[in-house]
This record gives sequence, structure tokens and C-alpha cells, in this order.
Amino acid sequence: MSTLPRPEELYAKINHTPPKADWMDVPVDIKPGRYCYAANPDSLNYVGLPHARKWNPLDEDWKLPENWKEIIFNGIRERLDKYRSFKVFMDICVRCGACADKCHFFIGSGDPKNMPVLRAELIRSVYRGEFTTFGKLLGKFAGARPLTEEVLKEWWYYLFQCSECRRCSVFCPYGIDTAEITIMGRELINLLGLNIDWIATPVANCYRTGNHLGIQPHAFFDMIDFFCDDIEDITGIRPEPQFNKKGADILFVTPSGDVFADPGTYTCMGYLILFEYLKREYGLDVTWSTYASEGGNFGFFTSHETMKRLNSKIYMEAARLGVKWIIGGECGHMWRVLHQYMDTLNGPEFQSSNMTVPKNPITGTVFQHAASTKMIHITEFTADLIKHGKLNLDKSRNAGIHLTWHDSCNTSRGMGLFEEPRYIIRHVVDKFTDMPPGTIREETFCCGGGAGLNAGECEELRMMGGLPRASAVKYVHEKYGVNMLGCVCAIDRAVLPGTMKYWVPEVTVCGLHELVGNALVIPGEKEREVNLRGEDLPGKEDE
Amino acid sequence: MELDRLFRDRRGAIVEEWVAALLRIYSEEGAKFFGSVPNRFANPAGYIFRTNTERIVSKLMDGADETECRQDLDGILRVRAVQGLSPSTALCFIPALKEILYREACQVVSPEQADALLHNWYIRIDRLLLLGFDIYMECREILWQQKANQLYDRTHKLLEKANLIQKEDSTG
Repeated sequence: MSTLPRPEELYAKINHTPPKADWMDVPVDIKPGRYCYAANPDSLNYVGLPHARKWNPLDEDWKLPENWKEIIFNGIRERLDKYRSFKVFMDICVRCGACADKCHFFIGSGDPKNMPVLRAELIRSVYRGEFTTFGKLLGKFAGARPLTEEVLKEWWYYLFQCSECRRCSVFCPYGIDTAEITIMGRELINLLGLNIDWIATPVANCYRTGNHLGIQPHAFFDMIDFFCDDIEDITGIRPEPQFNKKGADILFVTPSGDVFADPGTYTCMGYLILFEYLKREYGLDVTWSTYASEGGNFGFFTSHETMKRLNSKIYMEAARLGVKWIIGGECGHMWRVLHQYMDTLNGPEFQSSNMTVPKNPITGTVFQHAASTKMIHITEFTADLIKHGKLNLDKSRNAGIHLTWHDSCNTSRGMGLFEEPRYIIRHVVDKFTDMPPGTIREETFCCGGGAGLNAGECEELRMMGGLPRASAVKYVHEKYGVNMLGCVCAIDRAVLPGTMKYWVPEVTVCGLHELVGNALVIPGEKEREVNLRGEDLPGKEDE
Repeated sequence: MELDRLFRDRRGAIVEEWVAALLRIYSEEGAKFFGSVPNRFANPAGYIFRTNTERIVSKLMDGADETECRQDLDGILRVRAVQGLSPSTALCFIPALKEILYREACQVVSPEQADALLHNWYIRIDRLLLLGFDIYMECREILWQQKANQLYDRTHKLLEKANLIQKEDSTG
């Protein structure tokens, strides 16, 4: 036996240890599973984004325009002048590291370039090298470097490994919002046509047809009609939603994921039941639109200009229909744009003069916080109805569910929506357990698929980034028997089912209004046997 | 047996060395983070790496069958299966345990004796490695299955909505 080679000798030629090197000297290694496919040039052309072409991130030649450096430098210069936040964020970071271990992608991968500080440093180093005297003189000693094709590829790879969730910003003592740096970085590389398709094509579809998938108005109508069939089967009551109704009081806009993708479809059925109930009981006048049929704003992931254009479509439709105000569905990015960008992008003067500060006609509540946007989140609306005793809810229909709550990044850190969902939950579900502190509310972990990273080809990235969220879910599942993860974001509803299947297969995912739809008792409805998913209600299994 | 007692006495050191072998594949910053005193929510991968290696070592030392380590090994490999690692990189920490035990054994017996005395341990670690391959593949297959299902669901649903699917008539 002693003549046999030792195990270490056997493995000696297989070296799994990465070389020690300064981060600037580690070349970018673009790995399948972690990047999204390049944008379809037709999609870029449709919305007038520059340098549309076919290219492949795995190719050596990215077919950059000849003057690509000049484009980037001009782009940086323009943004430094235009956005004070960008200038400040480039200059004030002291690299204290408070953000370093707060990003879900770093927590899952251990890749240092996924530390928010270092991801931002990818751009800062070029800013220093090309725009500051100190950096020009001292180079690498001052943390500066020149812009090369290799650096550009590194930018592209890591800027699309940031979901702009802003968890890191919560921990920065200087208040640096690293998501803002990602946004600027994406704007810069998009000037060279380096977009990803999972953003560019939804943007083009949304701009042209009104929603990400490019589903035309008649198909949108058919899908909702299909849900009404199901609701009629389950409750005996057929909702009669209104579409494109001129003169309606309220416009309802939700992410198209709720209309076309499970489990969002059950959330959509919940909205339909709620509005039908309110129409029958209180005469609420709500219309859907087949033209502004998308709440999610993917323009946010490309540039301020596309964000502005997609946001404006909702308000143009509101003006066309002459509604007074808008209710927005369970969406994430829609709310971030609305609360943090819209007023300076489009401004109150952009809105039709018909629009008024949202006032719930049933309860009389005036939503003063939405005075400038004229739009409230559906959980604010529903919580207000419950608070005033306007809904007849039967929790027992959700008795099979032990819920925990995923605070979606954009509604949490973008608008502070923490209590309204939990207030509704307490009225529609008996068994509810929050995940531990540090993983919820403003410190909530991202699903890993935000900011355009929900493409099929980068599933590994999402699973890796979804680990911290899944870890907290696993804990409450094992300790308390939680079997359902609720959320108010269409991206969450698209991403988290896959994440749960991989990490905690015993837990499924739902939207909040699916649970409201299950619990809400419509006057005259038949005794329900199944929930909105068609599953037997508790106690009805053997009948 | 003398070696088993030695290993039990040195359990802590053996776990430390094995965790170090597990972390060797990561960059300096990544290894430092995963190897830091782990909070299960703030650093779930580090927590899993640490607690699961401890449990596997304890179970093996207590004479448990390798298959009883499945859940703990699954925890580690489920993380590594989505970190963009090659299969050999993901699993290379398992055979490293052989060398760790060999070095420990050489403190009390000659190298020749160590190899002979560790024969059963080597076999068990090889089995653990094979179990690891199964788990790693299962994890990867979940990912591929999810991708395939997404495509199937998307196409099937569209066909279904367009009434282009002829369902079998169960009444014959």
C-alpha cells in the first residue's frame, strides 16, 4: 500500500485554489448560468437605443463601436454634471466595508466583485483614473485604472449581477446607494448597445403593446375572461370587470405577470373578486386598461429616459380615460419608479387636470401621501377597507396555510410598505410567522431576480442569490411549519417558486390578494369547495 | 482502537482543517467571509459549511454509515452546485479528509501503519465521495428540470389557451 501515491499526490495536478491577486489583476471570467443573453437588436431599434447589433458575451469580439471609449467618457461626464448623486457617490466612499457582506449575490457566491463596494469600485477606479488628477498621477496606488475592453466586459458582467435591491444602501454610513451606481453603469454600457435581452425586449414590448410579453389587447382581455370563468366555477359569481372605460373613477394597473404567469394569476383572480365585491356592495367604479397593461417598469433597468417613457404611458392612459386616480397592483419596480423617480421625471404637471388626490369613496380616507403621484398601492387600499370593516372575510378558507412574509425590495426600501400587508394578513390568515429580524422589513433579502435578472439562462445566479432569503424561509418552515411564502411583487412570484423548489421544496409562493380572494365572501356566492388554485378547501377534502 | 480515540480527541482540529479544505477553492475574500463565525441568516453558506462539516465528522467518528451523512452533505453541495464550480471543484473537499486523517495518524504511528489503519476510513470517504456525486447531480438536475418545465409550461399554456390541444375523451 505504501507504494501507492498519496491522495494529495493524486490530486496535486488538479488545482482548485484561485491565485492570490489584487482584484484589478483578476481577469473577468464570464460563466454560463450567471449572465443573460445579449439584447435582440430589433428591440433596441424599436425604442431607439443606440448601437443595436448581434453580439455574444462569450465571444472575444463584442463588436464595439470604434469610438467606444469616447462614448463612455462623454457619458460619464454628462452624468457627473447631471446627477449630483453620481458625483457624490463616486467621491465619498471610504471603503469601510459596511456594505461588503450585505449583498445576496456575494453572500451566495463569495465572489468579491459582488461586494457592493467592489462592484461600485469597478466604475470608481475608472472615474479616478480618467477624471481625477490624483488618480491620473498615482494610478493604481490611488485605486485608479484605465478603461480597457477587459474592464468594460467586467462592468457588463457584474452590473448585471446586481438586482438593484438596495439592501447594501441600508448599511452604508454615508448613505451611498450602490443601486444608483449600477443604474448609471448600466446606462453607460447601454450607450454601446450592451443590453441584455430580458430587459430590452420587455421594454420594447411594453412601449409598443403595453406589456412585457407583447400580448395584444384582445389576448389580455381573453386571459382576464378566462379567470372570470374559473371564479364563476369556484364561487358561482361571475365578475364583470370593466375595460378601457372612459369616465371610470379609478384605473387599475398591475404587472402583466399577474395576468400571464402562475402563481400571479391567482393574485389576479383575487383582484377580480375584490373589485366585483366592491362594485356590488358599494358601487366602486374601476376600469382595467388593455393599453396600459403593465405596472412593472423595465425601463428602470436601462436608462432614465426609457423609465420615463414607460411610466408616462400609465398617466397618458389615465388622462385618455379621464379617471380620477390610480390603484396599482402587487408590483415591485412600479413602486420604486413611482415613489423615487416619477415626480422629477414626469412631474405632477404631466398628469391630467382631472386627476385628484386619491380618496377611497367607500371609507372616505384621503391618501395624502399620494397627493403628487395620484396612485396608491392595492394593499393600502385593501387595508383601509378592512380597517373600516368594509370586507366580509372568512379566514377559515386559508386554514391550510401557514404563511410567512417576504418584504419585496422595492416596496420595502422604496416606499416603506411594511405594515399594510401584515395588517391584511392578520385578517385573512390565522397562522402567520415572520422570518427573523435582519431578513425582513428594510433589511429584507432580494429574491435574486430583480432588475431584469429573471431570464431562464441565469438561473444559477438566482439560486445563488436566493440563498439568504431561502435560508430564512427554511428556518421558519422547520421551526414553525410555515408552508407558504407571500409577497407583493410579480418578479418575486416568478422567481421564488423556483428558488423554493431548489432550497425549501415544502414551501410554495403566493401573492397577498390570492389570500384575500380566498377569504372574501361575496354576497350570494355558493359554498366554496376549492380555493383559487382549485385545491380542496380545508374540511372539504373527503366530500 | 487507538486511532479512533486520537481522532475523537482531535475532532475540533480535524473539523477546522476540513473546513479550510472546503474553503480553499474560494477567493481570499470569499474564504474569509464563509470561514468567519457564521450567523445562519447573514452568512447562510458559511453556517452550512461549518455546522454540516462538524456533523459529518462527528457521525463518521461515531461509526455511522455514510448514508446517514446524506442530509448534511446535501446542504453543502446544494450551495456549491449553484456557485459556478466544476463538479470536481465542488467535491474536492471530500477526498481531502483522507489526507487530513493521514496527517493526524502519522503523529502517533508510522506512515505505513497509518495507511493500513486508515484503510476502512479511506473506503468510507470514497463512499462519501460517490454519495456526493449523486447529490451534486441531483441538484444540477433540479435546475435543468426547472428550465425544461418553464419552456414546456410556456408553450403548452399558449396552445391550451388557443384551443389547439385535443384532449383524450376519457369516456371512450
